[in-house]
Amino acid sequence: MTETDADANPLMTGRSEELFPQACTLVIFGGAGDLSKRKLIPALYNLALDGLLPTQFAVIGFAIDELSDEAFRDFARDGIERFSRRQLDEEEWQDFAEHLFYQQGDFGEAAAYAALKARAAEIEPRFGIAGSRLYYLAIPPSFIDTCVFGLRDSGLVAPADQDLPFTRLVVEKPIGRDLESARGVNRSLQACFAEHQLYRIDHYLGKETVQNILAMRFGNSIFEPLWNSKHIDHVQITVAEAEGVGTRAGYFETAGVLRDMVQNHILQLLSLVAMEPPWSMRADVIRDRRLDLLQCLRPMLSHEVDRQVVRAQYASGFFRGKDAPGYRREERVAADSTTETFVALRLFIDNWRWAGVPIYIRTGKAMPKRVSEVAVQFKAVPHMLFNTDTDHPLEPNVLALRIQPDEGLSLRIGTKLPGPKVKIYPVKMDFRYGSTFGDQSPEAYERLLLDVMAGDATLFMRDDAVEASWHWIQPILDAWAASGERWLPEYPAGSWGPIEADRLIDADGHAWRRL
Amino acid sequence: MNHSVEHYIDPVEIERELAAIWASISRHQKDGGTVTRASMSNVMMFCDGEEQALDAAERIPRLVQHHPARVLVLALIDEHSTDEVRAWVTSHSRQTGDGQQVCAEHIELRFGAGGAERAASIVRSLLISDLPAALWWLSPRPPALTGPVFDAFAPMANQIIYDSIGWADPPRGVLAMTQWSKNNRTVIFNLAWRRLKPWRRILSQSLSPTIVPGALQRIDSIELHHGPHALPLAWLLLGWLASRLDWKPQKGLATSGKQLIWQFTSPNGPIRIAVHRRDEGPPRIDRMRIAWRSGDGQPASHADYQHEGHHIRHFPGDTTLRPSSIPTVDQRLEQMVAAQLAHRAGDALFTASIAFSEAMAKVVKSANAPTASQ
Repeated sequence: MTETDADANPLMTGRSEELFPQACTLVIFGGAGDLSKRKLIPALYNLALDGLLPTQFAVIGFAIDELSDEAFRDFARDGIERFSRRQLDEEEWQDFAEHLFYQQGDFGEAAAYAALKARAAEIEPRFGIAGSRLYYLAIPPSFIDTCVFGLRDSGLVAPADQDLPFTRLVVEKPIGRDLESARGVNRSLQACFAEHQLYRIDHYLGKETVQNILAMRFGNSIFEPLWNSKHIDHVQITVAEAEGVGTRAGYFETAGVLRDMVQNHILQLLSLVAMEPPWSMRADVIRDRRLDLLQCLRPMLSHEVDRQVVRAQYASGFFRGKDAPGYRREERVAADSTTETFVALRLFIDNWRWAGVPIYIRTGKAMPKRVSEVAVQFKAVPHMLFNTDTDHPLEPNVLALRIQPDEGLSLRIGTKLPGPKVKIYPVKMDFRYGSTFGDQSPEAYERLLLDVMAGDATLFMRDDAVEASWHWIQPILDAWAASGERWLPEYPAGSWGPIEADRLIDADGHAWRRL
Repeated sequence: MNHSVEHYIDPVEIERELAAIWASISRHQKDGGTVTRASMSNVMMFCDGEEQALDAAERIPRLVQHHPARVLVLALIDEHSTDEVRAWVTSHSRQTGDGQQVCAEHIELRFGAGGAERAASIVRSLLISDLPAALWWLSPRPPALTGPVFDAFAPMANQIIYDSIGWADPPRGVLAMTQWSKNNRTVIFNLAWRRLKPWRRILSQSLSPTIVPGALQRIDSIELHHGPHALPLAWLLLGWLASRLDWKPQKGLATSGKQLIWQFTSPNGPIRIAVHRRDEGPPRIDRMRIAWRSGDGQPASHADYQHEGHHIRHFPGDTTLRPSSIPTVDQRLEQMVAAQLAHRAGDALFTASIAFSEAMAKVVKSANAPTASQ
């Protein structure tokens, strides 16, 4: 809720703990698609269960498929039954379903937008919605231009300086597939919407534990004094997926893990871990700090790409005792594909805080388990008093922020083993969200949808940050394109990656964490 | 969730007994698994009588599932004529990935009216340091009207959580709690406030100026119907509305044991509020009608609200608007308490509302408010 509106409604003031989702219509482009069914509708339903949706709220699924309102509700119900974190409650469903509508239309035809406009205008007064709309583009990137210009040309975008009714646009990643195309997407978006109306979503940032990074860093006084090159030896970020490409092979073949994971999720994660303290929690302040960090990444020179970046592809192997096919044997993958399914890289942040601290990133598919974490390894004590024998060296302190699964954080510290001799043994102090708080964390999409309805852009990507991350990635893409490699290093499916990745980190005297 | 066996012990043995429980759980771990303790708070649960203490004990596993804590059940047993304090301990744990996690060390103390000070001294020694302490007042008596027993435990708490549902004399209870709050820095919280959340939400949204322009400023009457024991709930909701809308209570009249009438003034004119109690049904606000006069080119109109099943439904007087609803998200008492334990700072809105409730109580008292069960 904007301050203007809160001020106008005295019953809304003073509610500091809550987000204020505003009355609006959510139009889902691609409403009959996979993202809508698996994520968006279940997220909306869970928000409704918690009483967090505004009462003046409607959803219009908008897509080319011929569906009636009733058929769309059946589609939504199926999505909730299969993918919601909580079971469908019949009474709540009946209420929720009354807010769901469907409008068929071809995104490329002006008539479809006119029909959408008429449909929204018919539905909204019934719910007391004053014309505020939130358009969610749950569509392939190739349709973005068509849709945003279609919206603008049909008069479906509210003036940028108008508080109410508002228009907001949510765009899914990827924003482009390289720097130039990302700029092109941003140009199209900004030709039709003002930047403050745009919400570029990266669902990773909606995860509770990702947000906890800020809470942990800036809500405690003990970490921040140590959060610099004087005390930190290196940082490892791992985002491992247990599955191969599966049903996403078609998309993945054109993307690769560098575009799919590093350019967005991992660099956004890194920006939260490494950014300077914000002076306020206001969206633009946080986003400025994240941008600053991305701009401090040491540029990857083309002749250094081979030395700093390892890419690889999974070959056949075993996953939990079962045969797992190699990437080139997956359906819809070219037999001579050079799309990388694994990347390990070393980067540096050229600023005062992080000078000389290597950041190691590894991410891949078909790995032994699904795990995402950021591990901060502190420097060894300056003078060894304990465990001076080389067989049992003193292990450094590690603070691990686990994103998934078992969300939480752990701190490895050395403690004396009981007994007459002074021997230090590493123990782990472990905090797990699930076991401490018991409650189920909301899905990332729940939080992010609520934020868009409330007009809070903190967890969304701004144009400059998107372009900054592509700017850093681009030399790697260029170097790979120029290399003309026909074979990539391989790693067996179900392993932690190729030997080349081990060599990359080993060269600095470090090792990947065992996860 | 597991828990260990209970047996009476000498209060001085409590810590030793807790250590023995820990050791016992550790011994039963396989393959070197570890036992950890998750604790976010110390929670003292004050109960009136054995029956309520048993009820409290049943709530603990669900409480600590959401908010791990060291829990002390403090049961005042009238028939205990001496100042003897009886105690036992137990624990509640659950299996985590690689070990057992103790989510609650559960300590029970039984004492008579003369033993409150003695029991308090035991509690003082058992509170885990560096963790907040909350006093959850399960007794149906308003805490501040309980005298020495409340005085014995309240100073140890950072937060006092009570529930005004069922108070026999709501005006007296409201006055006592607001007075106590003024003289103490301890945060107080009435669970009724949390129950009102869906009501506050639907009123905020349905009366938004973007939906019905100017309606909030032109309200001229409210009629509210509630079930038995729910007058404090209605009182708090009206206190919130009045404080938000800058109304001033003029007089309150209990026309019968079942009806209360208030007169308020606002910058835009007088407001009449009628509160009716039903003889039967759940302790909740059942329905409400808010009406507003015409003005600023807008017609007079109203909105009806009704608690039906698990929803509060809104029926606008303007039939071009569609009815809306909001789920009530029924929560067990212990879930509400767990949620409140995580909010240790005072809620400014709640504080403003109870301060207003006090002003409302004062005008009602001057008109001989009822003292029968509400």
